[in-house]
Amino acid sequence: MRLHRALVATLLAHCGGTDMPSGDAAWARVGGGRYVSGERPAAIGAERVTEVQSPNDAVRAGQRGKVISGRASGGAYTVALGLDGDVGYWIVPVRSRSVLTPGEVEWDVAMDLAATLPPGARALWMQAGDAQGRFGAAARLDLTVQSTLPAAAVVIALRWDVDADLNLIVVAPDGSTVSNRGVRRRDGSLVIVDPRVGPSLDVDSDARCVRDGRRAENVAWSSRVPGAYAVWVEAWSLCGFASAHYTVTAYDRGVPVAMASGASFDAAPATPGTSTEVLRFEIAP
Amino acid sequence: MRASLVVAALVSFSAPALAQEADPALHWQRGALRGTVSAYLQAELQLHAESETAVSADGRSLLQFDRFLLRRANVYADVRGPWFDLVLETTANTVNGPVFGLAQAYGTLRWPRDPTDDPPRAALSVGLLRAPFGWQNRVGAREWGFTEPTLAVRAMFPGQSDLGARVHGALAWLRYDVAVMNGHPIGDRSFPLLAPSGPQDIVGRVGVAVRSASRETAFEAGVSALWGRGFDAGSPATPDTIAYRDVNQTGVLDPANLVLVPGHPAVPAQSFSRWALGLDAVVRARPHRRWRFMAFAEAVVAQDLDRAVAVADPVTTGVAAREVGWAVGTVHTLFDHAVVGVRVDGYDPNADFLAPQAGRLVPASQAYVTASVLVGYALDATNRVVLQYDHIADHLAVDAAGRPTDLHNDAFTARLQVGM
Repeated sequence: MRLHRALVATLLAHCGGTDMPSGDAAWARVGGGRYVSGERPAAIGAERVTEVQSPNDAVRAGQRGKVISGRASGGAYTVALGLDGDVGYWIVPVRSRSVLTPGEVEWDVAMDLAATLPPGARALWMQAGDAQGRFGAAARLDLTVQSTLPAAAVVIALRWDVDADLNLIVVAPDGSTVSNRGVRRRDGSLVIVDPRVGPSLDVDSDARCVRDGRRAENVAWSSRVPGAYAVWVEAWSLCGFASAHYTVTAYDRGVPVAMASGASFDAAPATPGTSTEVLRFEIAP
Repeated sequence: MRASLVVAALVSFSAPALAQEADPALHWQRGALRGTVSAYLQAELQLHAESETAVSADGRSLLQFDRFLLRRANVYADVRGPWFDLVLETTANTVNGPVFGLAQAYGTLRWPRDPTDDPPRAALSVGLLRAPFGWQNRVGAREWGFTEPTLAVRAMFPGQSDLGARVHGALAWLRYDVAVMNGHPIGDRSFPLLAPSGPQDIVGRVGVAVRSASRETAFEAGVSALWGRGFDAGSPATPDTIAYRDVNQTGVLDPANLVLVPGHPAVPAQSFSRWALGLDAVVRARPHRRWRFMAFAEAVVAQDLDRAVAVADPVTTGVAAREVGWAVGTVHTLFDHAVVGVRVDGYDPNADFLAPQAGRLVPASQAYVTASVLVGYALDATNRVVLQYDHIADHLAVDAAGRPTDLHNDAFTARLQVGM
C-alpha cells in the first residue's frame, strides 16, 4: 500500500489541473458546486452578497436540499459559502442577471447538511467572487441547528451509518410495544395514543429503502414512565449495503442513561420481522 | 433540431503491431476447412489523480478509480471454408463489475471461392461485427498499440461492434466496405445491440492499401462516412400525483406543502438524423532491422453521433451537437522488444456548448485533449508489459470564478497482456 501511495504521489500529484474533491467530510454539501478545503477565502475583492433569503433559519442535521438564495453585486461570478467551523467551503456560479434588481445577479444553492452537524447556533457565511477569483466581504446568516432528539422526558434514540432500513422497537414498562407498526399491547391489539403524550415513534427513517438522509429514529414519552425497558433493532432491509452499524441511546430528561452498539450484516440475512434485542435499562421512579 | 455544417480535419499516426514475430495462435486444418484459435488477457493497474475514497452525492458511483482491473479476457476462433468464414470472439471484463459477452460473432460468404484470397474481392458478412469506420474502430484491441482507443472513438463507436450486414472486399489496392447496422453498438448507453428505430445506420469506408514486396512497409488510408438515425424514447404517460414540497423547510408534514403535480400524456418516441465523416491513414515500416514503427492519423467530424460520453439527443436539448475528434500517434519497436509510443488526441462533444458565467450564457469549450506516452517490453506480437501515462486536459472542473477549467485527472495504467 505504501508503494501504491508513493506511485500515485509521484506520478499524478503534480500533473496540473484543478482538484474537485467530493467534500463528503464537510458538514455542508452543495450540489453543482466546487468544494475547497480549509478556511474561508480572504476578503480582498470588491463584490458583495447584497441579499440572502432562507425559508427557515432553523435547520436539522441530516437535512437535504436546504435552499438558500440571494443576490450579489453585478460583477460577481461566483458565491463562496460555508458553515463556521466546517472543514471547507463551496464555490457556486451565480445563476442569472436579476430582473427585479437591475445591475445585480441572483444565486441559489440547495445544501445538504451532515447528520454529524452538532446542534446549536451556527453561522453560514457567503462571499461574492469576481472574474479573478477574488472574494469580497462576507455576509452572514445565523442558523439554528435543531437537536435531532425530540423534546421529551424519556427518549430512546437509534442512529445508524448507512441508508439501510433499520427499525427501532421498544418494549415499555407496561409491556406494550412501540414501533413503526404503532403501539400495541401484549395481545397485539392497537393502542390509540395521544402523540403529545406518547409513547410515539417520530419517523420510520429510510422506510423501504427510500433514502431520507435521517438514519435516525426516536421513541419518546413526554413524561417519565419508570420501569424496565427493552430495546430491539430490526433490520428490515440493508438496501444493498453489506452492513449497517447502529447505536441505541436512552435519555432520561436529556441525560444519557444507557447505550448499546451493534451491527447488522448481509451475511446474516435480516428477514423482515427478525429483530435483535440490543439494550435493557431501567428508569428509576 | 438544427442542421449544422461541420468542417474539421484529422490526421494522426499510431502504431499497433508492436512485434511481428511468429503468430502464436493455434491453427488447424481438416480437409477444406482451416481454423484459428487465439486468446489473450489484459490485466491492469489504474491510478487516477482525481481518485477519492468516497461515493458521489447521489450514492450511485464510486469516486475511487485506483484499482486493479481485468480489461479484457478474449477468446477468438474462426473457421474458413472454401466460400465461407465463421468468426466468434467472446470477451469478459470487470470494468463495471464482472461481465461476460460477445465481442464479435458473424458469418461471411466470400467470392471467389478461395480461402487464401485475403481480403477477398467481394464478401458479405452478417452478424455482430465492427462498424467499418476509421482505423481504430476496425481493428482489434491488440492492434491499437495504446491501452485503449481514443476518446472520440469510444464516444461514437462504444464497444466497437454492432449488429448488421456488411459488403466488403478488395480490388487490387482499392478497399471498399459498406454496412447497414442497427446503430446501437455494444457500449451504447441506451439500447445496446437493439434497434429501436430499425437498422438505419449506413456506414462505410473506401480506401487504399499498398505494401512493399518485402511486406515490411505498408500504407493504408481511407475515407469513412456514416448516415443514420438516432432514437429518443419519449416518455410514458403519468397520472396526476400529490407531492410534498417542504417549502417552509420545517421538516414537518404541513398541508400547505402538499402540491398537485399534473400528469401529462405520453410523449411519443422520435428519431433524429446523425452523420459522420472521417479520414484515416496508417503506415507501418521497418527502416532498420532493429527498428520497426507504426504511425496513424485519424479525424472525424460528426453530428449527434456521441453514444457514450456526452450522449447526443437533439430531441431533448433542442439543438444538434457538433462533434469533432482527431488523433495522431506512433509506436516504435526497438531491438525487437522495447516499445515506446506517443499519441495526442482530441475530442469536442459539443462545439456549440454554452456555460453560465456571471449570470449569462457564454460560449465555452467541452473539449478534451489527451497526450499519452507509452513504454513497454514486448516478448512477441501478443505478450507484453506496457506503462502508459495520460495527461488529460479538459474542462470538467470549475475555477474560483466559476468558469470551466482543467480537472486534475491524469491517469497512469500498467498493463500486462498475455495470450496466444
